Amino acid sequence: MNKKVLRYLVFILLAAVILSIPGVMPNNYYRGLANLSLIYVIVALGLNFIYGYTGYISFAQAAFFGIGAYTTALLGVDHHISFWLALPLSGIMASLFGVLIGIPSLKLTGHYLAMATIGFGIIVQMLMQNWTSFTHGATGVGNIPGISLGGFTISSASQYYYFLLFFVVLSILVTWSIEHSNLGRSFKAVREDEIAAATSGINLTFTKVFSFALSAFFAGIAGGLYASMSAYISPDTFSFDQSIVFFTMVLIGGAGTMLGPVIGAILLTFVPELLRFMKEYYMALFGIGIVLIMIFIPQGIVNVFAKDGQFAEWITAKRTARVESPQKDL
Amino acid sequence: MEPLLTVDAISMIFGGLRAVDSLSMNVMLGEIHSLIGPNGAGKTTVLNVISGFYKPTEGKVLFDNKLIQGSNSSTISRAGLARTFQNVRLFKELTVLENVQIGMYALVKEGIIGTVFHTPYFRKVNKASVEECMALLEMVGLKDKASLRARNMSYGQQKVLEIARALAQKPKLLLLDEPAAGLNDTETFELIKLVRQLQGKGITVLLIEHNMRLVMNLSDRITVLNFGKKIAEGNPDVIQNNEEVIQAYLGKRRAYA
Repeated sequence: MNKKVLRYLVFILLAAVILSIPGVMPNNYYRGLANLSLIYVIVALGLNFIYGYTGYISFAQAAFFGIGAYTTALLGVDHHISFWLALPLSGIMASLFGVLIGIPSLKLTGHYLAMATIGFGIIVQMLMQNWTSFTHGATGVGNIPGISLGGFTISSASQYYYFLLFFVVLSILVTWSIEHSNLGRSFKAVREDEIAAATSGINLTFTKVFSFALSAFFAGIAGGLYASMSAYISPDTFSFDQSIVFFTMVLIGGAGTMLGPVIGAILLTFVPELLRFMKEYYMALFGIGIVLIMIFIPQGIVNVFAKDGQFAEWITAKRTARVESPQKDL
Repeated sequence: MEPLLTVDAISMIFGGLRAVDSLSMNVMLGEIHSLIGPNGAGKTTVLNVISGFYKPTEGKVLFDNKLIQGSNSSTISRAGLARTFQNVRLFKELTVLENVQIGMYALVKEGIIGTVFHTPYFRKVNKASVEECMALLEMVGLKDKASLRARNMSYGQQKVLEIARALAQKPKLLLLDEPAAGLNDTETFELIKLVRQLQGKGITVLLIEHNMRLVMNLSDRITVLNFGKKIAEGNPDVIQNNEEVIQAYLGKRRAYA
């Protein structure tokens, strides 16, 4: 069997597994979990731009996710604006805040920037909790309108699954496209060596701010989807802890690879649930697992599948991509 | 001949140290100009001022008849001034080809729509730029290494890869900071051939180098720095016989008693 056929078989098998998830899941609780994992995939793919590709640690991702969620929720509940208009606005609103947090990144690096993003996240959550007249306060926003597509209203968890899957596939394709472009290379150049990047003509200001905005855009879109799906949101979902979880997803899966954040997001959503039979020890076990992964595969799980995180390349490799996509290393 | 780069009385003061002391020099269009001097003479500081890492304390830098001192290095690079580094600065985790593609960053206009959707226009632009980069890699002898990671290259290969990346910017002026340091004789010979080839293509070169054989072989003109001051300027013959230069390198001739 030649490689090409094998590649198609793997691809078809993968597609079959992904499409059959809602049918395989034992009950609606797990279907809901699957849907949540898809939303987190989008958030993690976003974070991957700033952390994985551009190399800046950000703990503001949950805040961007929250800004997206609140935008869709408040527009829908207080202003009766349709989901289809609110969703892009959620992405745009989050990315505007992304620009805002991108600006300190021009002066701050490493730990200092990480601290700044934590501060930003806390401020955002505080506003959600305490600006009651605008955000409905700590009780959260309820009765968020659902999603209807030309007369058809998405109601069941399975329907949501396929709807969200569409956005996940779109996000992966956009990530792939950006990774294989001048823009994606400029992100990586900034990560590898800022001085060399600048002397190569890369505008550091633009690149960093744009990367933050792009990260936030993905999170904002995911937030809009989350708000509409769950019909109720409250400030405690968008905490610093959640930012850490998003960060861990990217790290565990494989930062700077296309499929790493996808795998990380799915694992980190499901594994804690599967460990629940351990009762009170489950979080401890989960923590140990993460530590072990960091020790033995610091480049992330995706590197188990293929060397140097090239699994995606292997799946998507095509005619002209030979030169573009590094296939093997020395 | 007209100057492509004019350094006009620049001084660079770090705390109490005058690293560069009112230095003036011209790099003429099309020439290979070397900047030499003993260790600590301020050569790299001059290069860092020219390429925009430092804002000179005093003086002006004109490139292509435009003032560039105080601009950031990205802007200066886009004006047509490329450089390499004394300690190679490559994008180590990226492939050899990607390194060169990044050099071409400012010249390749893919557009945001093209970037996200990989439109036919994007593919065309991308294909053309990959071909150009591959041609550059062929010129420096790294074509068959295009898909390998930069960190896996030997030191000599990394040095020429850095030159290839700088060339991808299609510079008018190329600043080379000790390109021969750490190269063996064969590699140095290849480097000399490469720099001559670049001159043939109309690229002006400003070279900092300690390898005197290479400097004397390549340079049209040489500027000698010592303690941040220019002590001599001229063609290789003039420099080799300049008493002050010999003193700077070898010390003062003792009067025999």
